[in-house]
Amino acid sequence: MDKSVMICRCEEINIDEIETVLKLGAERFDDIKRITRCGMGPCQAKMCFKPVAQLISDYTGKSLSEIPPARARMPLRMTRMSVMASNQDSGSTVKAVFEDGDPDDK
Amino acid sequence: MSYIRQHPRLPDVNVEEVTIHYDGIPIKTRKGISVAAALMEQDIKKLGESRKLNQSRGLFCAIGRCHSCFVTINGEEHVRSCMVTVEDHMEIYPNLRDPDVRSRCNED
Amino acid sequence: MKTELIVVGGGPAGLMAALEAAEKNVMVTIIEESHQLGGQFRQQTQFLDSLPEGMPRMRGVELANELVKKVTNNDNIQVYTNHAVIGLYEDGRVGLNNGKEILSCQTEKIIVATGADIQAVFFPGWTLPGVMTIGASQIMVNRERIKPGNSTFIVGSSDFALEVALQLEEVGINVLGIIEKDSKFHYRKQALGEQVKEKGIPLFKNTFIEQAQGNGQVERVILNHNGKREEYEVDLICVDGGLNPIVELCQLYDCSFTYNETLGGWIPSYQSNFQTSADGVFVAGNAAGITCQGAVLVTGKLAGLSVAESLGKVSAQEANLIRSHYWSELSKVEQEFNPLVHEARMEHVQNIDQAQIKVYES
Repeated sequence: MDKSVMICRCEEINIDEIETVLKLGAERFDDIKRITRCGMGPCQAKMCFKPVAQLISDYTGKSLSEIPPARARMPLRMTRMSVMASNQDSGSTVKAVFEDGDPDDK
Repeated sequence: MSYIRQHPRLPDVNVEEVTIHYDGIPIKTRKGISVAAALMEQDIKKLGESRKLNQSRGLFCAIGRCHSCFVTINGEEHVRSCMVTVEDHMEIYPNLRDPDVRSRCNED
Repeated sequence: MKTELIVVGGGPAGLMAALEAAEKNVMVTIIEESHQLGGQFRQQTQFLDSLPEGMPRMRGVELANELVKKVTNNDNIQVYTNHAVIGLYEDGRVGLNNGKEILSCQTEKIIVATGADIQAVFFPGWTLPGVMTIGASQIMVNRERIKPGNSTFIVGSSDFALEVALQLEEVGINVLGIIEKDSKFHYRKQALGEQVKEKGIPLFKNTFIEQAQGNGQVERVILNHNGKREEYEVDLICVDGGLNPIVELCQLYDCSFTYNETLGGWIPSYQSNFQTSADGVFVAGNAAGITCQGAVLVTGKLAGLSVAESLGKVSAQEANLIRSHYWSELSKVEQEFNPLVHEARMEHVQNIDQAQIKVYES
């Protein structure tokens, strides 16, 4: 396939960029993510994991069962800072940032 | 217009009209449909541009996962237009640039 | 907020799981990300395939309405739409984001019924507006009631792709063809193939998209048909790269995962009661492996029942009896749909110890 084809549409990373990283020794999705930013955009690897795993498999010869899924962490969805700060439940560091004054004074 | 007034498989529904604004232009549309659908109905498919290469972006998955359909709604930026339904007086703008990260009162 | 069971996902599997558990006196809370319940059934105007015995023949939209009505009228079920699960607190509470504030919900059990999404197909220009998944085009036509374009190619030849091609054509979109890169079409229901031919929609094998072009949106597509290049004017391209189970939440619970090609790739390992390796965490529906609609419904029942059992609302003896009945329903339905899926399911459930990923590193 044309190497200029984009795989990660959020961060705009194409096949060529991913293969460059594979040549450097990347083996897992997270390796590629840390160097290229592939999977770090708003969708958080939802769209690009499978094609990247296929590229890793094609290049390294590993089977797809040897390529672990992209690591998912909290928050699982895009969350606005102001919404985080609204948490009345417990003392919120995020909330303190939005308020006036030094949080250490509280 | 691309509205399917009489659907071959679904019963007709009563439509309540609402008016939204896209890039300042008023659009009459049906209450309950998604913002992305309301714009697509007007042949507006390009909803924004990508950050790095300024390429056109719009609806792709329609279920809130691809994050490609971002628009600004009532001042709130990076809203997935496929996940929000239209409401009267909504002010919608295309996602053409990143918002100013610094708050206005912190401007040096 | 406090509940006995959180069902994540208000689609067919989640609704069935909620109803099953509620019927056994479990207090259930359904968390649904979008503004309405029903999941994929909201846009399925076709008659559902492989429904379990005893269920009347129904269209997806009809069953969705029925299930939503039952759930709404059930006093044991609370529904939160426009709420997304975003994380877990240290004490096990589930964190929800409704766009305005973060809420926490204490629960004893959780069923992950988050369904599946459609994999993109990659070619130069695939990110142009006007290129969308076949699921997206079906949502536009059946849920939003608009035509997302005037003429299109469908990329992929699964049963689902052919079904959507027919539905798009029916509302007046000119489907120029269904293209398949392989030398064999993938659809299994012969009736669909015949209907497509009757409507005059050509099927092209050994064909793929070389490039989609346009100024700001799709205007043209260049196909490679058996090595020959052909250009067409289209304003819509609908792609089907296959279905992927949505299972991110299971990672937060440190579930072990197994790679199962037939069931859609990486899915959490689970036993015959649909409980994952994480205590109290169950899965159901397409999130538990890509399958037919009938099986999606039955796995929901299995998970709901197993949760009721684990909460002591049903004795182990009674639960085993009902569960074996549901399992024979599931096996029958999946065997009929695709024997390979049935085989993959059995293998997955029996080999729970052989998960490739036991605990996440990094």
